[in-house]
Amino acid sequence: MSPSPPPIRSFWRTFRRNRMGMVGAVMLILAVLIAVFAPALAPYNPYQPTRVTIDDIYAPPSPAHPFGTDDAGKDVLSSFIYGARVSLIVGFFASFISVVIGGVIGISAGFYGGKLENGLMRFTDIMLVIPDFPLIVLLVALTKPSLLNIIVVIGLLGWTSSARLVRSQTLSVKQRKFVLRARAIGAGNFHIIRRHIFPLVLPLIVVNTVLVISLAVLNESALSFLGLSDPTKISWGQMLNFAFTRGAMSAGAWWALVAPGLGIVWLVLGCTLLGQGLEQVLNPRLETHHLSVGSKMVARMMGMKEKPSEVKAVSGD
Amino acid sequence: MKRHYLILCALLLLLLAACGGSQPTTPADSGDTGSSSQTVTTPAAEAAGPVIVRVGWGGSPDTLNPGTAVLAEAYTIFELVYDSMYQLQPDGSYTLELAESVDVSADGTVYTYTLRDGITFHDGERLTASDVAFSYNLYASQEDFPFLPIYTSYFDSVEAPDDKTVVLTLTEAIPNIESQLIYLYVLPEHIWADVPDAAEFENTAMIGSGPFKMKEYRQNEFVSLDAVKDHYLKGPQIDGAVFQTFDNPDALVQALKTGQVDMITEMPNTAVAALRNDANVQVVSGPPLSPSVTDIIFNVVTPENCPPDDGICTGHPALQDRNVRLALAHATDKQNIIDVVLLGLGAPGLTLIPDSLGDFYNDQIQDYEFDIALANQILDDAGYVDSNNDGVRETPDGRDLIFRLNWPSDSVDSPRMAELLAGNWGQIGVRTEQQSLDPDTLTSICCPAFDFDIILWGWGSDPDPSFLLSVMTTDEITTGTNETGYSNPEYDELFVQQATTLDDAQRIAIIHRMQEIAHHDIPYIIPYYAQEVQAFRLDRFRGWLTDAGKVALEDPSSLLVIEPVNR
Repeated sequence: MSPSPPPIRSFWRTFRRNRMGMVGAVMLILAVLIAVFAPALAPYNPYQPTRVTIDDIYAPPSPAHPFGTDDAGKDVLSSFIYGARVSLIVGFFASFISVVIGGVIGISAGFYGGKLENGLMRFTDIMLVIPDFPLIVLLVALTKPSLLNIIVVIGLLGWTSSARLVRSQTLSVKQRKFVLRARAIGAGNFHIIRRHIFPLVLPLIVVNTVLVISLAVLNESALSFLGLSDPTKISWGQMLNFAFTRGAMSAGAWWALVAPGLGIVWLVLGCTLLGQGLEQVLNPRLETHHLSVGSKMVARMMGMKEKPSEVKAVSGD
Repeated sequence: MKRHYLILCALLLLLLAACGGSQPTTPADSGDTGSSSQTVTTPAAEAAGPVIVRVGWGGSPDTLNPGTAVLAEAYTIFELVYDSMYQLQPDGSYTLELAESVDVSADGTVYTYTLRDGITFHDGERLTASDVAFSYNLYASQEDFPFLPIYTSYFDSVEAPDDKTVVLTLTEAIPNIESQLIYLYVLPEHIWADVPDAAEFENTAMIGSGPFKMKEYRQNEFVSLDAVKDHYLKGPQIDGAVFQTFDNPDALVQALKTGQVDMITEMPNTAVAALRNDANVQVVSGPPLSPSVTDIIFNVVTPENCPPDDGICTGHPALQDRNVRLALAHATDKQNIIDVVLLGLGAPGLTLIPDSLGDFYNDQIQDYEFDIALANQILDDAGYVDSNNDGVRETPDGRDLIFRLNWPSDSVDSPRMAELLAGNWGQIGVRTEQQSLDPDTLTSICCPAFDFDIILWGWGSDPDPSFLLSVMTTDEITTGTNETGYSNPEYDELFVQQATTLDDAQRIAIIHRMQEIAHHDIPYIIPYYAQEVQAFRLDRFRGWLTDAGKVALEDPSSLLVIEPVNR
């Protein structure tokens, strides 16, 4: 009776053909593998105190230190590998919190409607206009900057977009015939949400989770860069903070900036590509049809700019 | 409550680094229209135009009013534009500046100064004894001046019987009148007498009697000064100086490398090696002229000394035990901290009195050597053992040796220092909970609240040891200046003695003894005495002061003697 989500095999068949999504997935999986197997991959343990000499500080890349050393004489490669853990932990857990909150608010507002919807959506609007990052900075500065607090703060402030998207999807699903029929034969609200609404909203939630990860990673890096992270945890933002404040440029130590910087780009890009790939596969409205104008339309709907060269080609005709 | 941090800055008169990081600045060349015609001259083609020295720094004066200024950059400008009774020399000695001679009464309480001839203010008016008396009385009477009143606390009266004579009467004889007077700049009475509220006065015209006069000042952009060629004491060889504010220390280094500025007064130590390789650049380093000490503060306040009004006194009880502090001292690898944090540009510290204070510094003290085994032994013997095998020792009554470790969030070096300390101390079963706090929050938990265990912070001071010694006296616990809560009656007694001991050798002996006591009792670990670093280009000017024992970070000294290379 109820339409089930696309079977995993057919999903995989479609997704595999989505080049962007595949690239993103590979990038993200690679980052996860690096983080999980950090102790095996890293040549040194950056948490282990070591005695260094002045010559070890900002030493250029060498066989012993392929990515050079940082301002404390520590191996950049090892810190880079371990730093992936903090970014990913914060990214996954914060986005999980965000999406759970956003999902609950979105489904409740969309399904029940009325005063509840009005209240929840106005609250979402208020949260939406508050500039996230300054508030995150403030909250983290006020609480103890532990990893847990950072996750909670980023998570609690990142749910607004999920809530709005989930609500609109719920509104449309709610009107479908099978939902009305289910109600007619006496199904309760909770049953309808669980069996009919949620499965159809889930793809959207999955896509949103992946996209919110990149937001959380960026926020965490920015916090660390401002020196507001847990000082005992190595993260990419913290590595950038040390390199920036402790004169890496003056020493010509580009490697201390490049490695963590590229790490952040890698992770955020991977999440974004994967998220957009998933969106194309899972969201029927974005699905391309061989008869439609295709890619251009999708591009416009995703808010991407058309390539200037294409525009020129059209107008040149 | 803010006093701690503000005094720190106020007294860091000539040291730019400590306060430079905390203030907002804009890129230097954004508003440089007023002086761009002079500041962009290339080294080669400048024979015709005025000869301007361009100095790059990280900060900017907060105000031009000597009574209310807080930041070190303001005092650098005051040194150039104003004169005072004495001048601090790069070797740490004092010479008379406005006065040509001084006569001290037998009991040491009456100083009669005879002013030099021909001193004029920048607006042409004569500087007379009545200007001096007016200025000193203004500093002594103006309650809204935050810091200068501490220098007038021994003043009984200041009088000007004639144009050239100033009679300063003190309430009691003190050994350090020079250091009390160097920052009491002499202001023109004909301008300041008409100012309704001296604490609110912006003083933009800044009429003084010094070797440079104010041309233009834009906060966070630049300060432009013209030389006073016919100065009564020391006419500069250059036509003017421009101090440009740079937002970022790396940009400062680049500006020097490319010849955009002739001198920088601060830089990251990481730049030193690269700049030393540059043939056109000379780097000098040395102990700062005015002391600046980095300290590891232990909360040792006892319940009976807890300030009744403000005290919260939540310090870890184990830190009250000298054995614990001794073990921490033995477990602190100072040389490693110096290598990593300062890139070697510093010396291991002993007490709050740094090596830059010359004779006052007791170099006979044997420091606690870095010895993890010994530190472990001390804790074992004192009954601190890890009975539950979690890697952290406990006090005899079962409390873990886990200490809160805080530092000001505007400090660049503290996070690395905290990391190294955690590594060192972890080897003796001591754990830290680290958090950086913004300076206001840190002040509020520090003192007199004593709501902390260990703080990484620092003091700046004028070149007399009195202030730094007073930090450890019992009287200052309630004021918040005593940040450790340390109290030792013998030390307090010696502090009173040194303040009124007129004989230099005797006073130095007392001060040395005080350092021994402080070093033995370990209210602080002093990780290092940092050196100041500055650099200048050799292609446009010559004669930079490089051989003085200390780095004359107050640019006045060099600016007064350098001359253009191609003249």
